[in-house]
This record gives sequence, structure tokens and C-alpha cells, in this order.
Amino acid sequence: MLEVSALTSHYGRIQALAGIDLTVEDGELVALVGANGAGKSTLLRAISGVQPSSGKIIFNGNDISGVRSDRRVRLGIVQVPEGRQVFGPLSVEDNLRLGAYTRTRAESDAELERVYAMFPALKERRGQAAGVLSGGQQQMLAMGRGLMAKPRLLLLDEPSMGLAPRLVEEIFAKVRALKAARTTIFLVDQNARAALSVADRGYVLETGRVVLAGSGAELLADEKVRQAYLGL
Amino acid sequence: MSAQLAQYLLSGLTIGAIYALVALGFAIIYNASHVINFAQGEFVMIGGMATVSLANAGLPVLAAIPVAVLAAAAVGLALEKFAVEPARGASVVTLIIITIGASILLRGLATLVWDKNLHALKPFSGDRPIELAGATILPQSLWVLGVTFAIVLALGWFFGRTLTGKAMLATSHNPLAAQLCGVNVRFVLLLSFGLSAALGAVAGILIAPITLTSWDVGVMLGLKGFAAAILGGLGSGAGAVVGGLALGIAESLGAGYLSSAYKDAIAFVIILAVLFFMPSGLFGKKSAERV
Repeated sequence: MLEVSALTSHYGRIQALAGIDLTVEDGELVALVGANGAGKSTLLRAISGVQPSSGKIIFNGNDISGVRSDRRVRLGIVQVPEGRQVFGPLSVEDNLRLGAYTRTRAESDAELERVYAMFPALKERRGQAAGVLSGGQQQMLAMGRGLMAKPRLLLLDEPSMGLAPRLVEEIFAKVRALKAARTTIFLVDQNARAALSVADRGYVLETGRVVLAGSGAELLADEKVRQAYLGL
Repeated sequence: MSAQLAQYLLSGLTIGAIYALVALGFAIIYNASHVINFAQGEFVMIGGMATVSLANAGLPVLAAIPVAVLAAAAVGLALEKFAVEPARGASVVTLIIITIGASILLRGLATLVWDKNLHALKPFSGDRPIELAGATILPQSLWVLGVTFAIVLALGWFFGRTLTGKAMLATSHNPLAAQLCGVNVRFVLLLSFGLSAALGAVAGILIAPITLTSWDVGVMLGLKGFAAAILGGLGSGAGAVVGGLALGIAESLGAGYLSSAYKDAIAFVIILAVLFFMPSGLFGKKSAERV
């Protein structure tokens, strides 16, 4: 479904991605782990088209390297960004409706019911400003907003960042539910153990390069991964 | 209430409504781009001057007005497309300087296309004053107030009820997240310039029968609108309206009870006072975010 090859990206003169090659197959959950500053978020931003990059990004057989970010959303590449990034002054429901910005009103109505069914807490607070929600609820809202766009490939950037352990558990339960519903997911999380446990496959990123790839279980068992990212 | 005070309030509200329209133009572009568009006053000028020249050319005023508004909107779109967009990625200060340059260019073009004379537009429905609470009000003032009220309602509906309007608000709050929702932020920027230009043009047309219009009418109206926007809190729609009306009334009271010589100074005293004592204005957002 997604095929990235020789992808590079820079912030000024600093290279953030030094030639990334990876693939995500239809229906897979692929995790990307790595230290802070390894380039994980940059990679997701490049895939979404909001970060300049060179190299090839093939999505469903089409080269989308030069395609504008809003068109990529229409193609089904939807990102839930790091740090939630909800529209604070707008209501919960407006945030969700904006998630379906690329879709028709009828599709938006139907999707809204599904998202509310998945996140009942959002329905209770549909009229409140998104900015007053707790961190965990904002993360649910950010995920719900992403789902409103009907993703074919969902990019999740640090969904558990800064959340209490119980909420991390809840977020990963939602990720597993999405996977069970055959949503293709590319997941970045600093919680490497949780991310690799739910993933079919994983990549390890170090200073803008993929240094290790394998199934989730293989990476969890890998001595280097255990030392560097699992603290074992 | 004395008749005199009522008179000052009515004329203050009239000119304040015009400031409010100009201030709304500032707010919309500021929200979309954090740019203060100093060419906003030129849209006011283009609206008034284009209507006058089309009316003089024999077009009925009712036909001239929409043509003039569309012309100003086209200038606004062109300003974004050919001056602001090519410089995207530049700092906000650079973009503001571009708008100052554009305003000088537009004033120069206005003297070429039209002339340097003062022009009067005929009032929309006569100029027989109407008695109101011991004071008098021109029918044109009622037009100003009524149209401004309708525009405020329409903008409230657009930003509060339509997805496009909400996408513009979302873009102003968080452009990255808006992009990730599939909003084309370049289109939002273009739309904001077109909308602001149209608002400015409407203000210029409404006020032309009362204060006359000329090639440089936009300088003062633009600055007053800017003062109103600062007073209300840059980027706030409600603030722009309240700021505009408050500035108009303050000006009118100042001119009436102090001296009309100070009329124009009042706006600038207000800018300074606001910047010194409450930089975010009456309705400005205090930034607080949950992390």
C-alpha cells in the first residue's frame, strides 16, 4: 500500500532523514520506534506532505511525491499528529466535522455516529471547546478526527505521549480495535514495548536511517532493541 | 438624554460601523496569515471610487455596487496571488512590508485610472434627514448601520455554521492540523484576502455619500480600522465590531465635547493606550493551552 524509497529531508542544513526505505502492506500495523530526534515525526510529516522531502513515496501504486497535502488526505493518507493538535477554541463536534472536511455531509454524519460509538466520552462533550478536555480526551478527539477522514492509511504519531498508564492502555486498546477492523496503521510511539507488541512488523530508526526491521515479536526479542529502547 | 448627545452617538455609530467593517477585514487576514494587511484601506478606496466612476459612466448605482465590490475582491485576490503567495515562507514582517508597498502602488494606480479629485456618490435613498430622539439621522446612515448589521450576521453564520468558515478558523488556530484534515491552507489564505477586500469595498461604498471619496481616502480609514482592530483585539471578529463602534463613538464625542481638531488624534491615542495597557485588546485571546 505504502512504499517509501530513498526518502531524505532536511531542516535547513540539518539532515533529518538520510534515505529511508520502508513499506506498509494493506491491513498491516507497522510500528516505527527510535529515540527522540531520530526522525520519526519527520518521516510521518513527509508522508503526509507537510514536510518537504525528496525521494519516492508510492501509495497504492501511484507516485505521490509531488502531491499536495490536502490531496493526500483525499487519497486516504490521514495523520493524527503528535501532541494532539486539536482546534482548542472549536467544539468537540466541530473538530470531528473538520476531520471529515474532504467528505460529503452525509458521509460525515454517518462517520460521526461511528466515532461517537467508539469514543462515548466525546459524545458527552460534543458541545464543549476542545481546549478544555483532558489530555486523554484530547488524544481520543485527535484520533476521532483522523478517523472522520476515512483513512486508508492511518499515521499515528505518539498517541500515548504524556498520558497516564491507564490511558495509554486505553489508547492501545483502540489501536488494536482499529487493527481488528482492518485499518492499515503506521504507528510511531516512544513506548516501544507497547507499539511493537501490537505491531505486525516494525522498523527501528536511528539518526534518519532504518537500522533494523523485522516482525514485532522479532524486534521485541532483539538484544539491541531490548537494550536501547526497552531498558532491559 | 440630551439631543446633542443623541446626535453625537448617532454619527459616532455610523462612522463606527464603517471602522468595524474595515477592522473585520484586518481580522480575517490576520487570522489566516498573521499578516496585518496595510492595503486594507485601499480596498475601501477602490470600492468607493469604482462605484462613483461606474455611476458616472451611466450604470445605475444598484448595478455599479456589485461590480465595484467584485473588482475590489479581484484586486484582493491578485494581491494575495502575486505579492503575498510568492513570498510565503518569508517572515510576517516582510509580508507586512509587502502590503505597505501594495497600498502605495494601488493609490498610485488610482490616480492614473481615476484622478486626484474628491468625488461624491449620491445617497442611496435621498438626503432628507430623519428625526430620531430629538436628533437627526441621514437615510444613508441607516444604510450604513443596516448593511453592517447584515454583514456581521452573515459573517457570524459563515464562521459559526459552515464547514468552510470553520476550516478558516481552524487554519488560523493550527495551520498544520488543518492541513492534516485536508484543508488547502493556500486556498484559505486566498479566500481571506478576497473576503477582506470585498468587506473593505462595501465600507467604502457605504460611506462615500457621507464623507466623499478620493484616491487617498483609504489611508485614514485604513488606519482607523486598524485602531479599531487593535482596540477590539487583533483577530477577534466580535472585537473588531465592538472596537469599531467604540472608536466611532469616542471620536464623535471627542469632536463634539472637546474639539473637532482632535478628532483624528483620538484613534491614535487609543492605539497607544491599548498597546501600553492591554496589548491583547478587549477580546484578544489570552493564550493558554493544555499539554
